[in-house]
Amino acid sequence: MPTNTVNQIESIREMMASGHHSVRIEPHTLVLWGTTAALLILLTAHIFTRELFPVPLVRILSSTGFITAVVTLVGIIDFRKTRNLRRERDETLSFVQLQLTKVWWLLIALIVLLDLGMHLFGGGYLFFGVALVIIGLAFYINGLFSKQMLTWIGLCLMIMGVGSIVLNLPFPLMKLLAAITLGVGFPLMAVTSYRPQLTATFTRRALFTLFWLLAVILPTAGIYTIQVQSTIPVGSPLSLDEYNAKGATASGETIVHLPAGTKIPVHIALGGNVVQHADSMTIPIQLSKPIDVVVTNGELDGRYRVAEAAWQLRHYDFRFGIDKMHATLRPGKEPQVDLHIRVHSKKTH
Amino acid sequence: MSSKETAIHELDPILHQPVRTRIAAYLSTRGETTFTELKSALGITDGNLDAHLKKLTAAEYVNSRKETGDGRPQTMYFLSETGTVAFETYVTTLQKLLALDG
Repeated sequence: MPTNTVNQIESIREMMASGHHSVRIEPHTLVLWGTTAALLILLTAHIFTRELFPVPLVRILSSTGFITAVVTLVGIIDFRKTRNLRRERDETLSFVQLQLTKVWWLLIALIVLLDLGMHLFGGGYLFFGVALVIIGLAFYINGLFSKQMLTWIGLCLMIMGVGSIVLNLPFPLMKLLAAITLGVGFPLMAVTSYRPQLTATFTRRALFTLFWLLAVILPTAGIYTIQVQSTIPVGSPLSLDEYNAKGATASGETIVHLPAGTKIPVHIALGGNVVQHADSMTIPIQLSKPIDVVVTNGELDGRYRVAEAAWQLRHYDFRFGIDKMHATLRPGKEPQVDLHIRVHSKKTH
Repeated sequence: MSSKETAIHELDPILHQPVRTRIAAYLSTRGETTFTELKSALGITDGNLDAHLKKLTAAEYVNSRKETGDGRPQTMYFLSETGTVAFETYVTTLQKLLALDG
């Protein structure tokens, strides 16, 4: 009797646990969301260009509207397809899965809002890292109620997101990592739905996770290296005097060396709804380190390197930070504003 | 009659059968489910499951409802209130027995 009772209780516990783990993400869900997100990451900036949408606010709102429409459509298609598939197989969407689908949609909406907010208020550099953390969190929550290895992948996504921010990865690398993680990593996870034996034991899960990480990280590193190599300019740098001597004949790609100590006037125009548009003022700044810049057909194309370090892109690797903005109004003195701006190139500090 | 014999006597005869206990346990946490999902969770044949479901339904421990709409109609099975109480009582009695067994 004792053995029977123990067995019976163990059997009850096992079946109750099985009932709790009723969430199962269908392979088409992973493929659909993964490829859509990857395409959005890679293509949106090419659709909503500065040339097509010159007004920043219009561009940002159009882009957000487009992303919202696409994810809403994908959400509807995915839900209908999942429900119909379950019906065909005489299966249900459990109560827990229905609730977690709502959590998934809310987290996707949070990512879209975050994208909008960062476009409007700054901090866009963090976007892909934070998005990976949010998606990882969604997977982890689903995984708590599933027999699939969603918690493992969820944790990997969260570590990748936090890691990319902590390691201060270049923005294009973070973007590529997010695109490949979603576009390749998600469909790869779908394979485990067709072949559950791949993740049946702890060792197999660990091996699959390792394989999954390699399948995501290695292509990212490879493609990024090729991208970086393709942006390295060819030729030896000209001095500013040599470049000036070439004058208007300077066409094609030219590297120009600006030594430390070079004085560069910065023209500043201040505006806004609490200050009058003043004439632009000029602040002379001085380079503390030598910089090489690339001039293509007479225009700076954004590529630069500091003190012969790796080549970088101004749009992604050059940061401004306002350390202090302090206004004072003391008796007998005129109002004054102290502004401390920090300018740094990401890889040199 | 000893406490142990009393406890054994208290065990619900409908639920005190391994397959039916497992059905009740699964339904208690899963909520509504279909015949196919139940069969897959229990790993038993159609006939076996059907026979046990009939006994649970006859005892009003399990209820079912038909769901129509897009696609094929489905029959959903779920634990009734009577079934929930009976299952909880059954588990409590089992735990009492285990304690008596030391």
